[in-house]
This record gives sequence, structure tokens and C-alpha cells, in this order.
Amino acid sequence: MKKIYILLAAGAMFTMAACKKALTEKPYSILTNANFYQNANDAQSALVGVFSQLQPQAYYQRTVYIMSDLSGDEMIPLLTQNQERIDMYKVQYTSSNIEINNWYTNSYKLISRANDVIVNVPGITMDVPTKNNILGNAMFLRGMAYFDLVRSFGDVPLILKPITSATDPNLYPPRTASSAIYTQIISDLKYAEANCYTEDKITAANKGEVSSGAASAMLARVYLQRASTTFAASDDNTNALAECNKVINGGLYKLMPNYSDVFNWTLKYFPAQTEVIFAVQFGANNTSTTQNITVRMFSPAALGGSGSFNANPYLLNSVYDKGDVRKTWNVSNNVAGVIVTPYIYKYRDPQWVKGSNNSQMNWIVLRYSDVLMMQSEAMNNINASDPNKFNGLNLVRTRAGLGATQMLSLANTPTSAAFVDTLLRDRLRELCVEGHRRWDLIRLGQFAAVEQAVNGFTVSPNQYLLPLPQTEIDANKNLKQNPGY
Amino acid sequence: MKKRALHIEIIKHTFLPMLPIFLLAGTALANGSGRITAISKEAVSTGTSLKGIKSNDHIKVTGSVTDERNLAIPGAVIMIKGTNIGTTSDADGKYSISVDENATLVFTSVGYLTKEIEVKKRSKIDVQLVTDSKNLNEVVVVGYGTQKKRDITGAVGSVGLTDVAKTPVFGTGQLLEGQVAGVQVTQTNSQPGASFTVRIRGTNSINYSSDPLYVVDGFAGADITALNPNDIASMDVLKDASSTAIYGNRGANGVVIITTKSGSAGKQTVTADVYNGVQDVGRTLPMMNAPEFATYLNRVTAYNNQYNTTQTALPYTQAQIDAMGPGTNWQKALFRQAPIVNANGAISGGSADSKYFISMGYFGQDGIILNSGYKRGNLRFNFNHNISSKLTFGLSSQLSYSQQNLANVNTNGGSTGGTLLDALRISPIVPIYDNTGAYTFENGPNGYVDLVGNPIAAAELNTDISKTFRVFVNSFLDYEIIKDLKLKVSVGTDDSFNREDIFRPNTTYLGLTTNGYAQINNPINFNWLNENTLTYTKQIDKNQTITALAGYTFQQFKYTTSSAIAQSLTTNNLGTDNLGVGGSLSSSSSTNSNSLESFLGRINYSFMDKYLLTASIRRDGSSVLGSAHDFGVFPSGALAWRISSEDFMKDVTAISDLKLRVGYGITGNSNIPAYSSLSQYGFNNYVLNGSRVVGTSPNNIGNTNLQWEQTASTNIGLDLGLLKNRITFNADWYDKKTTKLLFNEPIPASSGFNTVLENIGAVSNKGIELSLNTINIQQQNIRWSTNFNFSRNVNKILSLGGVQSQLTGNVSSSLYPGGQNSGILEVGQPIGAFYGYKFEGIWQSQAQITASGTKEAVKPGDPRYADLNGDNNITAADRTIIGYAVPKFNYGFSSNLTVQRFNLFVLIQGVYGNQILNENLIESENGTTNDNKQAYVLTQSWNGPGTSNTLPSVGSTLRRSLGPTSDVLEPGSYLRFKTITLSYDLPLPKLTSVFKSASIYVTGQNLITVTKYKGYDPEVDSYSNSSGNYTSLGTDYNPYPNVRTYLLGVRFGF
Repeated sequence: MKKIYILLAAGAMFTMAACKKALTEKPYSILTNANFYQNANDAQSALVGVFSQLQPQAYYQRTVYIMSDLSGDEMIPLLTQNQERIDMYKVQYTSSNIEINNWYTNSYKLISRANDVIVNVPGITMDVPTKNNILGNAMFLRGMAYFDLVRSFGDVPLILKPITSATDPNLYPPRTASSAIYTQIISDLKYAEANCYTEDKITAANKGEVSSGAASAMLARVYLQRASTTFAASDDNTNALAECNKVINGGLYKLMPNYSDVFNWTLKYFPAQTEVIFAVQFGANNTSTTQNITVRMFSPAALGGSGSFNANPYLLNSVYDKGDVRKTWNVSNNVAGVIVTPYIYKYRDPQWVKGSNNSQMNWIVLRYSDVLMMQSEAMNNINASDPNKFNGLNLVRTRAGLGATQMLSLANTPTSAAFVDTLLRDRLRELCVEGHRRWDLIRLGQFAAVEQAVNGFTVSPNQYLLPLPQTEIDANKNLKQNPGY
Repeated sequence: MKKRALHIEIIKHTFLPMLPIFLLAGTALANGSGRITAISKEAVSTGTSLKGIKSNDHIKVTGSVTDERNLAIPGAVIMIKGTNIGTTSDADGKYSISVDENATLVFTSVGYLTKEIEVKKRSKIDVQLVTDSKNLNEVVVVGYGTQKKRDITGAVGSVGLTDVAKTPVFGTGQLLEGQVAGVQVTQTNSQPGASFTVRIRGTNSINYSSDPLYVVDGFAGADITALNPNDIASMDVLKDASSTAIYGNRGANGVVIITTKSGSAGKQTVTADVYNGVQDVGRTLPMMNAPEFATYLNRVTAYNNQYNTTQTALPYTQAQIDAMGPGTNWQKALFRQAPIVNANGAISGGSADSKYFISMGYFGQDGIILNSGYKRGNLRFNFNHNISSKLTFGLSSQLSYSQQNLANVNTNGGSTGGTLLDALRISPIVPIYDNTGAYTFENGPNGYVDLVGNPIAAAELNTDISKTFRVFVNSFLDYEIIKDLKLKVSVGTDDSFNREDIFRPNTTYLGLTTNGYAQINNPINFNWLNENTLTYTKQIDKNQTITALAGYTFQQFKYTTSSAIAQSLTTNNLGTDNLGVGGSLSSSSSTNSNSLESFLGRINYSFMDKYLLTASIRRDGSSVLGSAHDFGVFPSGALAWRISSEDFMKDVTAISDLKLRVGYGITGNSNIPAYSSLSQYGFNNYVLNGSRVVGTSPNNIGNTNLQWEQTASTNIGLDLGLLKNRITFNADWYDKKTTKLLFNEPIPASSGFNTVLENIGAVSNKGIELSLNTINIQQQNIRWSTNFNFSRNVNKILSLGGVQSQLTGNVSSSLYPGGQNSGILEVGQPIGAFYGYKFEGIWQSQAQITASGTKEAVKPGDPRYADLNGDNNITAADRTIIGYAVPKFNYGFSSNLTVQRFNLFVLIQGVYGNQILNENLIESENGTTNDNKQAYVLTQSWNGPGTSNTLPSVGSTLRRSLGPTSDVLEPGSYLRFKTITLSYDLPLPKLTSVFKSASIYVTGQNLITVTKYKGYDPEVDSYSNSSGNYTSLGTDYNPYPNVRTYLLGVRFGF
């Protein structure tokens, strides 16, 4: 019997010793909240993680133009498949539209990653300007995402800290008033403007990050958009103008000599590229990076693309004036002499392999010609009789190859309404399929009229806002759907 | 013609591989092994004694046959030994037979031990036969020990492996199919080498696997993928908690215990078994031919022109259509008759102290899809040695090597397609080869059809080869410390080393998208286990026996993988052998590990052989759970009452065995990936200054409170044996409740995440299982037995942690744009409820649409879905439960008929009352307009008012745009003749002294399937066996079609 006791005792001791320690997990290939955010490298890597969230097809690789340009009047999707695209084009979207869901979900993913940086990086001991630049970048991206959300959906949940547990009180948030969302956006962008490096000070390795100028340009866009709402602040237009002037007078950014230089992907970075202020970056073929599907989406089959989105024929037939170099660059109906359905030709990429998704085109979010036109818009809003309001538009027209007779003035554009008409057209000619159209039409009060005139689609007032995704309504009882959906 | 070709194929493929066996036999003969000679001498002497019979005098013998209680046994068979002369006893047990005065009589009757009596010139011989309790004394392997079947207190089913010898199986999982009540086996797809989904008593878990735990030769958590089915000696399924609680937090989904063969003392056995056959696709789908498809495309184009006010030219003129031949039959080009071969040899034997079993096996199955197949070689060595009277050493080991050539099936579809999917989608007008003899590159005409690649080129040129080397070793030392107390220490490992090579040259459509593609994956699995148990067995007195078990086990799993991808290949000539030729290279690797630590104990107590008690407890720790809850306790208890042993049952002679069992226990499931409880930061990348930079971002919301899922279950069972166990009947009723489900709870996207892993919700599984074994005929030359099993499981979601319902289930995102959900988890409903729009017919005219007041933008010819909330619009609110993926009941039936030397075995198996979401119909029937269609689409689609109320117009895409709808759900019930085997025992021992036994057999598998299902096969489950998809039950999207197999085999014993 003695043997048994010895054995049992030995067994018990062995097992006690083995306990706990053996069951502690060793994460081999991941980091955890326990061993991340330790130093400056971690902070930079976390910021890259925020940028990375811009790249999915369901966000700034494709969904961005399905939201802004397809649901404007610039493009027509294949009418035989992808009903969600057809519905965006025909302005008959519902809450189950998967692209609307993508837009909403990915915006919040970006916000969540930015929040993680904004909350955790301040605790790291590191060079202060570098730290503030990283925080400024994160705040810019958060502000940009909220701006996308607020102009798409109106009131949305405002989340400013990462959700780290299932019991977080912000897990099931209600909607926050649009006005408060705008306030937060402006605050974020102001921080970015004050703390991000200027374009010329961004180190070589970090080219593509957010500059102080990008924050100014984005602020101008936000102020202008808010100026068109019911909760506009009285100084929105003057603020917008001031931000435009900062960019214009800063002297770093200028128009590229040729329109096509903006889309020359070998000239992606300052100082070779002076016009692009902020762009979502994609990598070149044969690098282990994410590449852009857009060239395949827009190219017709004859060029080796999928032809998933065609150009609205009126873009080819009735938008551009004679001598405008942008027409032939932006849109075509010709492949090696054969007439095809009009297609968006703007984003060509010589190194793209036919049939593949791997173009190196960047998605341009902000560029100098937009700032020039925003300056004009703000000036018109402040004082419609200011003759200088045409300066920005005319600079852009000149670069497009238009002659002296085609310049704008109070003589040929006497009223504010006429100005808005030409502003919309000029923005369409210059910025088509760059993610602006739907918001421009809404901001300038022309969405329903243009859809009716160009496409024959009737837009009801509630459709100025998109429905919240059904899955989100299902998952969060505290959300109420927008009216009419 | 086809049949004859098939027969020739069978012969060609059967006799060639048999040659080695004959050679082997010849060698054995030449060597003249002593043992074989001894056997042959015996056989010869039997032959001579036969001759002697006739020379002696005949006498008439009479008598009666009774049982132990002196009750008459009618129908007993009395044979003269060595002859086929015999008689049977009458109703009073009396018999009469004329025999040689020196003959021996053999008395047999079902349920009794056979008795031989020498006549010795007697004329009256009364015989008392003793009940054959072998059936009940059969040993069943339970967790950490064995038990006699008669002492079992829980719900345990055994696979009838004698029948299985007659049903050649392709994998071990398949052995369970149709054999044990309460076990449902579904083939995920029929790709050679693919795995099976096994569910024991329903689905417990929502987000994680409900796979049972496999225990091979005592090694818990073994991988059975490459186990050679021919090596298996027994296979027992532990179903209820009282049996599985000893496996603690891995016991909730049932346990399958497999024991491999071992040698026996003093008897050397050599067996060889070879079969060979061909496989055919079970059915093909009747797709359109060239003129039909051209007409169809014209009609679609006209439709689109009408409704989109476009003026696209029709793709084909009538003259072109008239000039077309039938075009390409892509399915015919892709499918082939594929050979299948299996060869096995085994040697076993031993002495009183050492026993061994060695086997070698080869299994080769070509796929019915070009360039797919599976090969497996096995080597097993099992060894047992008594080192001393108190110390025993044992070893169970297997090496295996397998190679799987994967066809590109079960894909998500879209432009990258899949070979079978593209064979269905591509235009029949397109030829396989162009006029230069090269493969046609892609589908056409451009603009009218979906651009997909040539599936034949893809099947032939793109390769995906997965090679796995496995090692399984489990060894133990068994030491008798003192009398009745034994210590067993075992150490084992089950490891796999895999390499997968994927190659797509840029000459295929898929390969060109990356200008050539080569990838190597290297997953490696380590799994080691140490178990230490003490077993105390004591016969306390005449009436009481007690067995006690205590143990400690520790197990660790480690997984490492690495992957390298090369794209933009400079040359297609090197395959994956030099990734350096890629212009673009990327690589990745990952490692994870988890461990289990457990303490276990069990007591079995038997009183008067009538009252049986089992109680067990296990304390389990798992590293994957949250630090606050990594240990859990899992108790169980069961009682059994052998009513038939009670005095008052003595007179009920018809009942030979009657036992009532009641058990209750708590088991767990912690089947979640490593690190699930931690807040993880994962890696991603972005581009700065034109170069790749690596980012770090939160992956999930961590949860340190994660616990195991807990299943509490009650089982009540009844075992009944009638007429000396000629009829046995087992019934079990169970009630399982699983709580604290490990549930990926969907959360608002505003959090930045889609789900959070929590322990919420509850699921109930209640059911009954019946099985009936009967020996219907037991006569001299005819024996017929049947087995019938039936099980019904009712699954119900009791709670989802506060929410009433949650959408679930994946569907192909290229079919249903953006990917939508196929099902719903709803409180009060079972897991596997399909959720979508209810089909109500076809809109017949604009007048009807207008009159209905619908706000939906529909056209005549569009499908009409039920507007459930009456708001004149079809919105997400109009979705409802449209069907159920889980059958109402499953059944299996096997019949085993022996007539003289012939044996006919039939296995029928089926399910009833389920639906299948046939996603293939979106592309092959209605939904997309750019793919080839089933032929009936042209004639039966709506084409004007009144023409059809079931199939929308050819141009309508509404069915697809909404997400799952009831018109793509089809009934999934089926009854299948799974196996029919006819075998013949050759009278070889008389003809040649080499063979102890030899039989030859032909088998047909899946010969007949009765079903209304219109897809390739109703036994399909495209998604549900992969992580993240466990609730995507009953969907069918481009699977590997099921095969019909014809085999011819021989089996030798030396």
C-alpha cells in the first residue's frame, strides 16, 4: 500500500507544478495589447495600419466612386449584373445595398484604427513633433471618415475611443447630430493642420502621408459642405476661403503644367508632383503591395478590362467645350479605331497587366485644382459680385487648354445661379470620377435636377441621405433608420 | 457500348494489380512456411476422413435439444460433421437423423454455443445447449479502459465492422455512414481525399466545430484523415454525456473510439486484399447545346435592349445558329471514368509474451474530374510485449504518406471561377481547342457572356498538389503495482508534415491574371500527449465488483506554417521548383500553440450483476480560454438495471436480455482557435514612397472571461434481446442542453469590428435513436440478418444572449452580390434555418404589376416574392424562414444474406425532410444572364403572359439581386443504395494448400439514389465544415460531384 501513497503524492506534486504555467498562451505570430505601443516604431506602424484600412476594394479602391460618382451622373454600370451598383446608379438604393454597407462599415473600421492610435500613442515616450505628426495623421483620417459618413448618412454614431471590450458603453451607440459630427471633424482637421508636417518636410520614406496642407484643403471642403446645411455656421464660407488661401498662398502646391501629369503614376510624389495634395496609395505591379482594381473596372474588354463601369455618354458628347484637353484624357469611345461604348479613360496605367487587378494608380482625394475651384465657390458664397471669384476657375480652364475667349467673368456669368451652373460643369470636367460628383450636386442643390435631366431618374428629397445599412440597424437597437427607407 | 467499355475497364484495372498478390502467394508456397504446411495437412486429413464415412454402418439417432432450463429449442440445426447432411429439431425440440455410427453431430442454434458430440454408436442423444453470451460479453472500448457490453451504462454504438469489410470505404469517416443510430455523416464534397462531416446527436455549437473527438488506440485528439480503414479492429461511438464526460471539455460532440488490429498468440495470419474498379460521375446536368445557347443569348440581348433602351446587336444570326453543330459538351470533356485501386497486406501473430500486427496498404483513387486524385500508402506496426509478469509494453504506430491532386472546386465563383463551375458556365459554342490545336483561351463572345477561362485548360494545366507525411506513435507501459492496481503511463504523438504546391502558368486564364502563379505552403502539425492512469479493479465479494480509475493527462498542440508565393513568372517550365523565377515574391508564416491539462476519475460499481453504476469526473484546463476561466469541472453519473437478471423475469423465456439505462453528465467544448481570448494586434501593409510598409492594427475585441461551452445531457436507454438475442433492439432518448455558447456575436460596425467572441446563448438537442438487429433466417445453407437504425434529432435555439435572431450562413459573394446570409439563427428555431424571400410565382403582365400597387421596380417575367408586411414593397423586412437544412430523421438499413458460398450485402442509407440551397441555379437557371444554362431554361422560362409561373424570363436578374429566395431551395431527402456487394467464398482450401480462405467480390456504390434534388447530388454540404462557416448548412455551390463506383476485389487468407 505504501507504494500507492508515494505514487499519488508524487503525481499530485507533478500536477500542481504543471498547472497554470503550462496553460499560459504564448502568442507566436501576433502582438497583443500587452506588448504593443512601446516605442516610436510601434506608433509609426500603428499609423500605417490606419492607412492600410483605406485600401480595400470595398472602400477607397472601388466603393468610393460607387458612392460618389456612380450615384451621380458620370457613370453607368453593367446593367446585367451587380444589382447593388445598378441601384446606386438608378438612385433606387435600399438599406440592404451591400455597397452602402461597405461604405459605412469600412469608414468605421478606419475610425476604430485611428482611435486606437489617438488613444495609445500619447503614452509613448518619443520625439514630440514626430508623435504629434502621427496623431495629426490619425486625426485627419478620422475626420475624413466622419466627413464621408455625415454627408452620406446624416446623423451617425460618434465614437472617439477604441472599443476594447464587449461591455463597452459605446458598443451600441445612438446617432449623434450631424452638427456635432461636423464640429468633431473640424476639431480633428485643425489638429492635423497644426501638427502634420508640411509637404516639403515629410521625410522621403513617409511620402504619401498626410500633410498640413492636406488638412487645410480638407477643412475648406468641410466648411463649404457645412455651409450648405441647415446648421451652417455663419463663418463657414470665410473659413473655407481662409483655408483655400492658406494652401494657395503657401506656395508649395501648384497646378501641374499638363492635366495628364496629375495621372502620371511615375510622378506620384512631391516635389515632382505638385498638384496632388493627398492620395490613397497603391503599389506597383510586381511588388508585394496592394494594387488597384480600378483600371480593370473602367477599361473596356477591348483594352483587357472588365468594363464594369462605363462613362455616361453625355460626358463624351456634351460636357466639354472645344479645345478642352481634358476630354480626350478623361473619356473615350475608341479602341484602336474601333468604336465602343464610352468609357472612363482617365486612369490608364501602362504597367497594368490586362485582365488583372494590379494597377498602380492612386486614388486622389485632394488636389490643387480642386482648391482653386473651392476658393472660387467660397468667394461666390461670400460676395457673388466679387469679380475675383473667377480667378481660380479660370486658372484651371487655362491649364485645360481653353483660350482667352473661354474665360469666365461677370460679363458672361452675371448671376450667382449662372456661376453655380458653370462651377458644377467645371468641377465635372476637371474632377470627374474623382469622388466628388454626388456631394457637389447635393451641396449646390442640383442633385434631383441633374439626375432628372441627364438620366431621367426621379430623386425624392429623402434620398439625399443614404439609408443606414440594414445589418447595422439589426445589430444595434439604438439606431433609427433615415426617413423613407 | 458504354457498358462493355466499362466491363473491359474493370477487368483491365483489376487483374493487373492482382498480379503482385499472386506472386506473393507463389513465393509463400515456394518457401513452404512451416505453419502454412501444418494448415494444409489438416485440410488434407479432413478430406480423407470424409472418404471413410461411407464404409461404416449407419444407425438412426434420435433425441431432443433443450436449453439450460430444459426448455425445448425448436429449429436447432443438427449436422453431420464434415458433410452437408443434416436436419432440424421440431417444435418440441425433437430430432431424428441417420448417421454413421462413428460420426460426429454438430448442434447449432442462434443464440447458443455450438456443441459437437460423437455418436459412438448411441441411438439416443439428448443435448443441452448453453446460451451464447458472447454478444453481451463483447468488449467495448470506452474512455481510458474497456467494458463488457453487458455492463455498459451509457449510450454507446459500435460500428459493425464485419459488414464494413464488405463495403470498401475511401476514408475512415465513411465507416460511420448509415451504421450507427444518431451519427450523421455527410460528404462535404466528393473530391478524392476530402473529409467528411460527422455529427453525433446534432449540432451543439454555433460558431465552432461540432466535430466529435477521435481517440485512436488511446490517443485522444488523433487525426483520422490518413488512418487505413483496413487496420481498424473496432470502432465505438460514445454518444451520451455519461460516456463522454471522461473527455471533459472535448466530450460535448461525442467521441469516436477506434482500436486498430493486434496479433494473437500462437496464430500467424497472413491476409491480402485487393480491389479495383472504376468510378463514374453520378449524374451530369443537361446543359444547353450550341444552337440552344445562341438562341438564348439572342433572347437575353433582345430583352435587355427592350428594357434598357439600348441597341446592342444580337450576337448570332439565325443563319449562324442553323449552321451550328451541337457544340462543346464541356462536362463530358471534364469528366472521365476514373480507376480506383486498393491493396492491403497484413501479417499478425505472436507468442504468449509478444504479439504483433504489421500491415501495408496502398489506396489510389483517380478523380472523375481531369487531373484530380488521391493516393495513400500506409505502414502500421502494432506490438505488445510482456516484459515481466507485472510489466507490459505496448506500441501502436502508423506511418502514412498521401498525395492529393486537388481540382479547383467549391470556390466562391466569380471571374476566377472553378473548373467544374466554368464547365457549366462557358458557352457550348466555344471549342476546347482553336484551329491551331491550342486551348481556346476564354469564353466568348465578349460583352455577351461572362469572361471565364477554358475549364479544360485550367484542369489540365493548373495544378494544386498536397502531399502529407504523417507519423502516429502511441506507446505505453502497464505496471501492476500490487494485485488489482495497475499504473499505465503512455506517451504518444500524432504529427503531420504537409507541402502544397500550387501552380498556374500564364497560359491559362487564371494564371494570366498574375502572369503566372506559383505557391508553396508548408503546414506542420505537432500533437503530443502524456497520460497517466491508475486502475483499481476489485471483486469485493460474490455480489460486488468495483473498478476505479484516476488519471492525469497533458497534451500540447503546435501548428506552424509558412507560405511563399511567386507571381509574374519568367518561365512556365519550372512549376513550383524555383520560385526565384517570379518577378513578384511574397512570403508569410505563422505559429500557434495550445495545451490541455486534465485530471480525471471514474468508478464503476456492479451489484449482483443487476445494478450497475458509473460515475466520472474530469477537471480540464485549456489554454485557449480566458485566463479567468481556464479550468472547468465535468461530472457525470449513470445507472443501469439488468431487469432480465431479476428472479421475476426467469419465466419470461422470450426475453433473453433487458436492460434499462439512465445517465446524466456535463461535457464541454472549447473548440476555438488559440489566442481567442487575447486582444490581438495583427499585421497589414500600405504603400509609402512607392514601397511596402508594414502596419499593426487591432484584430479583435479580446475577452478574458471566455469559458468552455457547456452541454448538460440526460440519456435514457433500453436494450432488449429476444429469442436468445436473435432479435436485439436498442432505444435511446436524450435531452441535451448546451449553454454558454462560444458565439461570435455580431456587433454594430461602428465598433470597427463585426463580431466579438462571447459565451452567450443556449441550444437544445433532443432526440431518439432506435436500432434493430434481427437474424431472420438461420439455416443450414442460408443465413439472413438485417440491421435497421433510425435517429431523429430536434435542434432548437433557446437563447442568443438577448437578441431574438441573428443572420448567419455564407453564400457565394459572386452569386449574391457582396455576399449575403443564407440563414438565420432565431430563438425557437433550429440551427440551419434558411432565411430569405418567399417565391410566389411570376409577374405575368404590366397590368398585374400596376394593379398590385407594388412600389417594386419589376417587369413582367420577374419573379414575384411575398410582401409579408404589406407595404407594397419588397424590403429586408419581407424575409422569412423558407426551409430547413437539417433532416427530420436519418436512417440506415443493411441486409446480409448468405446462401451457401454466396453473400449479398446491401447498405441503404438516407435522410428525410431537409432542404438544400441550390446556389448553382443562379448561374445555371435564372439570375445571371451571361452563363450557359440548363437546357430546360430555354423552353420553360416565362416568355409572355401565362407561359410560366415557376421560371422567370431569361433576362430577369431579380432572383439574384435579393439574396437567397425560396425558389432556389429544393427538397434534400434521399434514399440511397450506398453499397451492394456480392461475394463468393472460393472453395480453395480443397484445391490448393496455399490459401486458408479466399473470396472474390463485386461491389457497386451509390448505384441508385432516390431523390427529387436536381443538383449533382443531395449529399452535399459546400461550406459548413470550415472555420467560420459552421452554420452554413445545406448549401450546394460547385462541389465535386458524387461518384458511382464499381469494384471487383479478392481477399485471401494464408
